Amino acid sequence: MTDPVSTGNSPERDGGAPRKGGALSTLMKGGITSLNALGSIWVLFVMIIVNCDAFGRTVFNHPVEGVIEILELSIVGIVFLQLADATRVGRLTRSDGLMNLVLARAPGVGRFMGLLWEGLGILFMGLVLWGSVILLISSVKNNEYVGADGVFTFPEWPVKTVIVVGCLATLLQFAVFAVRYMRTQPSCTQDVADRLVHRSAEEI
Amino acid sequence: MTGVEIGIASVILIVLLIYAGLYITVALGLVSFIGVWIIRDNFDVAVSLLSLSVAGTVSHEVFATVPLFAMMGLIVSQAGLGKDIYDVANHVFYKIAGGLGIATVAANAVFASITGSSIASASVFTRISVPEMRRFGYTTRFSVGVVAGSSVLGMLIPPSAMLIIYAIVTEQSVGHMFLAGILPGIVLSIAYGVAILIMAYVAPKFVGGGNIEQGDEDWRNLTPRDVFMKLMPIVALVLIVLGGIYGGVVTPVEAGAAGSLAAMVIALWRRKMSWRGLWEVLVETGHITATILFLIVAASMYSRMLGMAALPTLFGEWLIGQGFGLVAIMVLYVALVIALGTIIDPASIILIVVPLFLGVMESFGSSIVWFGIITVVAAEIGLLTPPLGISCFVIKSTINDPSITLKDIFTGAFPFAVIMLLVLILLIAYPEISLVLT
Repeated sequence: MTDPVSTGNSPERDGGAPRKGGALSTLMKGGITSLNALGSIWVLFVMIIVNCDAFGRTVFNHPVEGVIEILELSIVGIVFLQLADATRVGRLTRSDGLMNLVLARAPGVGRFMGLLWEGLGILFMGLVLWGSVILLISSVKNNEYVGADGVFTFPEWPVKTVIVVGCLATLLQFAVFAVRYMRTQPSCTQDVADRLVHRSAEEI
Repeated sequence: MTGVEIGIASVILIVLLIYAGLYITVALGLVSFIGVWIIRDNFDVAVSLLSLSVAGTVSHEVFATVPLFAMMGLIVSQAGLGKDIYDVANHVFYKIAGGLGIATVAANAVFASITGSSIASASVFTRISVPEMRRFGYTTRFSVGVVAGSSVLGMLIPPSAMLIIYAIVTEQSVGHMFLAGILPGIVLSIAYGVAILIMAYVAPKFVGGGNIEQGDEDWRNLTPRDVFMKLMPIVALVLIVLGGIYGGVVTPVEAGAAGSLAAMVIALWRRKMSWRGLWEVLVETGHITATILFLIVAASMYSRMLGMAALPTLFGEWLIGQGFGLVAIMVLYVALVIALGTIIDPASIILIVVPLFLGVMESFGSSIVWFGIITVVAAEIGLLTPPLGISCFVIKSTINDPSITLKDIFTGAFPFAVIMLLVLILLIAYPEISLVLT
């Protein structure tokens, strides 16, 4: 099967809402999918570098220096580059059975719940963002780095910056959802399952 | 309020918020934040709980197994290897009663050894084997039930995302967890196969089937060469992943990277991978990685909060003080996991429940590896049960046929959930099944 809308971007999380939002939301979507693209390329890079190291070590007895450090930084980088986009396409794990029931029986209450949950999402990401900015500042001030002196070192601040950017983008994405809850009804579990299938079962 | 009371209140609040529909990561992280803030009476400590978890938790080489095995599974699904395995399995089993059902289980078991996700298994085999089974007169309920039931093998037979998550939470070796999953996966597959055979004789109306003698399917007349050509890529991938880890030649991270690379070569060789296909695999890998690892970040906030509240230790002492033996605690534990499994996904269950019970298991001297297999199987039963059996939802949306209701799928999957429970009891009674290979 082929997914007609896939260009690397998964279908937007909205339950057929007629309004797509303005220039601001388009700009944000662009930003978030760019982060996602960067993270996707990084995944490929990780696969390649681990293979180079494994082959280099076993076949040529010559490992790639600093692979473990690169991996440690890469995983954090990939997670936070992708977090906002994973949130955007509705992949952040939740159990929305009860909420869908409430939305169907008492839409007003359901939408209030939805709004509340997105609000708590904003609050949580805000706290994480605050703490991460503090860590970023201290990593710049103290010239923190990973690795062993003289073998392989890499500064901490780039990955700390990625965390801050990723948290900010995710916070904004929760805000977009919150606005959408005020305007329209969101998707349900079945839609999430549909998307999972779109992603994982191409061209059997 | 004492620390313990705050800890208990937090656990209850987290479960309630998750039931009410809050994002699981947000529920874990935010409640833990408030818990630590109250226990330590210090806002800054609570903030640094969050930021240190975010920066530090996943900053370890072993977490690279998550994207690498996810990528391998996605590429393998694109490469059409599922269809090949199913053809061979049909060729072997089609003459037996319930044979296409048994073939689905067998194919799933093999497919599970190159993918780590039940969702991938469910969607791949819904497309491949449900139409084939219905064409040969198997009932719809049985057909979708077999696919749902056998899809859970994806997360039990290594490589498996759930085993990786458990290994990370409990600081066990991923390689050991993988090896421990092999025999339980095989036992569950055999139990499914035997049960299908019995059902075909005892409840033929539920199973359907028959009239298999004529037809011109290509899987009927496979030559040994065909079988070899269809199985060779799969055998190669299994050897790279499990052979490498078992032989100690490579680490799980390297096995994942090499497996992804080999799967990519196979997909390119069979002309099943376009640039767009590769891009979609990478994006999906990123989404899976972000979702799972951010969940692990939030779970580490939670377990640090529990630690500050001293809850796991006291909970363990309390359980033992009540005179509960290991058996009683296991019954309690499995019941709790299955109950949570009706509504929460397996990964979240592992992250919420395991930190509470780990100390108790250690004080009984039980194997943490064995406990992991029990946890994963118990949590996976929830994939098949209403109201939120993820595997059943995936089948429903893949099949795209309004005449097949979710109720049909849950009904068809029910016997398989029961078999899982029986196998789970077997695994609890005989820890050697999980431990003999490790």
